[in-house]
Amino acid sequence: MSSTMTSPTWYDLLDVEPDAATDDIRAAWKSAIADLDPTDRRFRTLNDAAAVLLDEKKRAAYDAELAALEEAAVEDEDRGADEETADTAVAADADDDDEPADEEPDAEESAATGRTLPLLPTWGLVAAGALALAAVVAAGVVFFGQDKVSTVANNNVTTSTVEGAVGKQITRNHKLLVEEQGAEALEAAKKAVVPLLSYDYSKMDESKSKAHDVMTKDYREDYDRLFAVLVDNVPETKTVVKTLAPVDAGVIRVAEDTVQILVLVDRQVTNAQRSTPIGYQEYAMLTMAKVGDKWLVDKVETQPSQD
Amino acid sequence: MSTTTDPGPDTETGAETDQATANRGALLRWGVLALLIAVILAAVGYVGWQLTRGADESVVSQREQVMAAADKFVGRVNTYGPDDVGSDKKTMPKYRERVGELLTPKFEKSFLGNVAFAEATVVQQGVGRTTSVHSTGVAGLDEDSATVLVVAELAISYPKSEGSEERVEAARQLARTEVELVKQNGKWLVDDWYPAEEAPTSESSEGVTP
Repeated sequence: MSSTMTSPTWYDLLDVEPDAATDDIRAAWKSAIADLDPTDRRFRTLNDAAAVLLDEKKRAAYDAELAALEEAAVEDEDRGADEETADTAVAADADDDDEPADEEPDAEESAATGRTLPLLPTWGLVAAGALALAAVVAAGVVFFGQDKVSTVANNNVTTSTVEGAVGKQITRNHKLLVEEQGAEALEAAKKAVVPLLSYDYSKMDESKSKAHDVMTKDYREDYDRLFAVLVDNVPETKTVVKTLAPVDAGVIRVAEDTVQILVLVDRQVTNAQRSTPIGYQEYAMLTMAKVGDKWLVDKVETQPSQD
Repeated sequence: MSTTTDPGPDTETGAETDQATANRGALLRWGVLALLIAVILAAVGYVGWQLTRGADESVVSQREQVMAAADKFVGRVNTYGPDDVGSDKKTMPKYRERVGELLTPKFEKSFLGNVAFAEATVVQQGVGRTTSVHSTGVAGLDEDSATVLVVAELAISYPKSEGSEERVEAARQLARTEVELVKQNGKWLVDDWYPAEEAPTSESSEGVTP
């Protein structure tokens, strides 16, 4: 039995077989202590052994424990981790009741042999490890699943088209806390709005081409439909719409691949009747979509045209 | 089994060494368990904190809050009429109250100092205004301040004739407003506002009397 353990059992100590009769154990114990001084530690240890093995109940419990430890030791050996199993191979309950006989050892001596921490079962550690892993994975999902947020500069400089203040510089500089994709889409929208909302009757193909560069393929269909109407009319109206750099712009909402931006724009319009530009203060809501690594205009909502 | 003895059949020193080894092994396991429990608590705490924080303090939530506050302000400050005139026949106490509660104390003072002009147009000419907000976007935002762009359409009306209950819409105009907000005691309050096409002035009274 002790072959798989690193410490001897009470049986080993008394040099009896695990199935030895009680009388044999008693005889072995007496023989073993016969020549020892009571102050000798071995005397006390042998008494501990006898206290367990000469008590029917304690012996049965001890045998059961040995069997369990034997099994655990085999498993641990398989994993190359058998040293801790042996630590409890001789663990025995030496409480101070049910002494085997009046001539048998003092329980206080048994208790005096020392106490150790209860050994945490391996399955407990495995379960705690699994829980820890799951918790760390959940924390990782939450951490990496969050949008990256930072403060960016939202600077806008343009010239006024307001009557009485035409040409006056308007500056709007903000610090904006926003998701990474929101910041990218905001800057793209501010640049896109100029070609998107401008056209020149004398260069309609060029106007259309510049606008196409800033929009998605899907939106081109809508844009081309509206632009075709302009193309039909501009030979007569001779309209030129110059959209200035945005007065200001802000984020309406941010999703993973689409961002909606509000852009305040001023437009200067000339036509066959008016060679002096008329200024209009307008706005556009641009839905920006990420296509590859670029943010393009996917939808435009503006106020009804004042032309 | 609470007592573990190590018989140490050879010597007393051997028994003590085995017991010490057992203790170290058990202690190591308990140490590992404590470490794992600490990791679990830290990870669960982080997840809980993030989820709770996400509900109220995320940039999405802050953006929604400042847009709602700015929308409400632009709507209220541009909506008034004869029905708001109080029993003194000079002022619009309900209008003052519903706008004032959205303002910082500093800006409320400025607002109350200028509201008499709007009240005069209502009392003397029967002017009425209604507002329809078209769009709102956040141009600037940090932990406790924000600039929100609000585009709204204002409809201005007058009585058809003096004393008449019937009203005539005189004009519709688009107002592009920049609203400055600050967070005070957890609530976003308006601290200034001005038309987007004009440079902001040092005094916070640009658009107080619409």
